[in-house]
Amino acid sequence: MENNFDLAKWLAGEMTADELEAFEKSPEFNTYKKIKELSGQMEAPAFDAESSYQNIMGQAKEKPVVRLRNNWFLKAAAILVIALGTLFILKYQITSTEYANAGEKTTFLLPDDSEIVLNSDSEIRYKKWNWSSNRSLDLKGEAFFKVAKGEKFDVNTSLGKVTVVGTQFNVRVRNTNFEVECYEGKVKVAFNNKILFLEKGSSVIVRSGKQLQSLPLTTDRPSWLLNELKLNVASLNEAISEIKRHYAVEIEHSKISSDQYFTGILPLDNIDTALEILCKTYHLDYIKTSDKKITLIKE
Amino acid sequence: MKEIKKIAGVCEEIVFSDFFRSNAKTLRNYLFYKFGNEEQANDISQEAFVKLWENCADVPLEKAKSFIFKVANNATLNQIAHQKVVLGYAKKENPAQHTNESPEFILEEEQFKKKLDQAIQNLTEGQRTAFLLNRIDGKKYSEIAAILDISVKAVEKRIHGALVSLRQEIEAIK
Repeated sequence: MENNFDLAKWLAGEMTADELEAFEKSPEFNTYKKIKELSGQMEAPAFDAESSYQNIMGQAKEKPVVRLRNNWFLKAAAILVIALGTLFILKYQITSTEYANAGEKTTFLLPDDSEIVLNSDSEIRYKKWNWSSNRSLDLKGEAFFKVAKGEKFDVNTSLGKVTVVGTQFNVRVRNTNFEVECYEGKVKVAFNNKILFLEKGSSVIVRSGKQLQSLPLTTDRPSWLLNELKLNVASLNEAISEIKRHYAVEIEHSKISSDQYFTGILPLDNIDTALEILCKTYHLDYIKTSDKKITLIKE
Repeated sequence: MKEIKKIAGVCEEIVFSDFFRSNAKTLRNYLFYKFGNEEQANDISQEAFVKLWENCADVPLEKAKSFIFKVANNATLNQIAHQKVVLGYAKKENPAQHTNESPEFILEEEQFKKKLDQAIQNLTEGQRTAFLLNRIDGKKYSEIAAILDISVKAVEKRIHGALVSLRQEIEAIK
């Protein structure tokens, strides 16, 4: 008889009205109703979730568990950490380079706030990593340094090494010329197995390994920062190279030569004046063949 | 929040504890209906959760439920034989009904309860667990199907079978 009714449906309250009406008329209905009613009042023994949970965590922690395995979320997190770490190392460990192209000057700060002004056509390489306890950089060309107080500060060049503690100084490395000017503090200069100490206001000029006499400094910063090009006993070729660097121009001078040295100041903000001064000294003429090309000829 | 839990996985204690709180009682009761031994049901369900915690990295949250039931089912294979499932009855919630109940009625109901208890012992294990998970834990047939890893149809068949066999037992005792 009961197979005629889906009792599971009835218990879940899903019987249709027709089915229910027929079922209620069956002789078994009253017993089923009672079963449903009383079974609905039944209870399982009380369950203490809190103490059970404490037991579980207690048991679980007794055994060392490797729970990092096969968890893609942690894997992704690990990859992210490694990637960020690598980026960090790349950024700080790898050598940083600062350039100033011909005709440009670049000012930048080192991690310890030491200030550097790069003259035209110059380059500095250094490592940001651990900078404050390892202040050492490589210079090509010319730069002015305003060094923050701290550990010793090394400027390595192809012609010599300049070491300071906290000071302002200019280093120039062009061809075989090596010049250091000290504007504040004290500077140690090492070249050709020689070591010199420069006091404030003094400078050293080394040309092809030979130290030349130098005059006391008259300004508080290098001339090129005052838009002047100061040349000390410079050959014509050097003077021309400096003009090319600062004005970013081409100068054709293959047909002229001179053994005379030039000592003086050329402006860096007016190429015509600079060329005129140079040409008068060497008895030359200059022709601008285009905006960026100049030819020097004999007068 | 649900999404975050899904991503964080069972290894996060907050997720694990949340999962425990919503499933521990059902597991314990299921084991109790199956074996009738409360202490054992508590132990086995705790073991199942310990296993889940230890394997949390390999078990995604959506599989955690079937994991604990599977572990519990395997663990009980070696356990001692079935004992009587002793269930209590909640006090009737509606006091208004009491006024209509004569002493005869109450006596009759007490007798019926005894018969029902007896009949429940004699159900098959499958019928009893399905029936009691529905009646005591209020689980829907679909939920029971998921817990026992069988189809909803199979659950309905067990429920139907349980009701038929309960009525027959009770009427036979009469």
